[in-house]
Amino acid sequence: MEALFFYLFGGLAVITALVTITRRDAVTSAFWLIACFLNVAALFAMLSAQFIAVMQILIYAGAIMVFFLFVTMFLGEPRRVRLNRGRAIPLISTVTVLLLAYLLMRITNTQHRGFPSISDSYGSVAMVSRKLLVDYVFLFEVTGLLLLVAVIGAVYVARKPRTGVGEGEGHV
Amino acid sequence: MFDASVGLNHYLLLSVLLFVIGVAGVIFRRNAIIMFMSIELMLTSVNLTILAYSRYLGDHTGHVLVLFVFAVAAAEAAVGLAILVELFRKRDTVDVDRFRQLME
Repeated sequence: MEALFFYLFGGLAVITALVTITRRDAVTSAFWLIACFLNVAALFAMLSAQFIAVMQILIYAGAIMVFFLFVTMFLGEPRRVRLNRGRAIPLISTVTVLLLAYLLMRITNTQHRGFPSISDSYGSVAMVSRKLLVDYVFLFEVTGLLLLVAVIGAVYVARKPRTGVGEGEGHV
Repeated sequence: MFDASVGLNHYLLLSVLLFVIGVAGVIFRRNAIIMFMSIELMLTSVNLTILAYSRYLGDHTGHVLVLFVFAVAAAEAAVGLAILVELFRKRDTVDVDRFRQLME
């Protein structure tokens, strides 16, 4: 039963990922990527990481992808972009296939490693948050600082260009 | 490799496939937004690896690491897309091959 769900969600994740990178329109791409993230969230749940699975849906499929969609629709005009790199395709295909072969070689020459049995509380909010807020609380605080700096940087970079003297300067 | 029971290797294989699809998306496409989305796909595939190993070792440290990856991905998306919006204002395109200089 578990294997069935693994192949179902895993196959769907790979298919939706392939569709994501082959769409011409970035908005269509973003919706397919959301579908891919939902499938990956199901796989996270199968790995007993329930809390991370919910966060994957809320943060990735929710917040980050809505942000992508917002920016894509804000920019518009997808026709100006050529689909891919015409002349370099043989070279970069070779590089991609070599990378795939190398990674596959690294993971397939090992024995089958089954998952050990674990307690029911594994992956629960209590266990993860104890790890996060007791053992790694300093990194947690630094992450908050990182997000603050990112927000300030994003607002500074994307602020409205100054159109006239005094405007923008005083209101930023 | 294809036993009835799903083990660590199955998740690693799936993670490799998703990662290489992400790499292909970054190096094949010219649309900067789709390249960004491919990077998010690569980050997610690495998260899958981390969680699979976490499950294999029965330890919660990987879950914390994945949460930090979420935060860094959000920050990266915010700053990257802000830069993209600014570039689009200046150049009127998101084709990465047309971006050849930082200043003008």
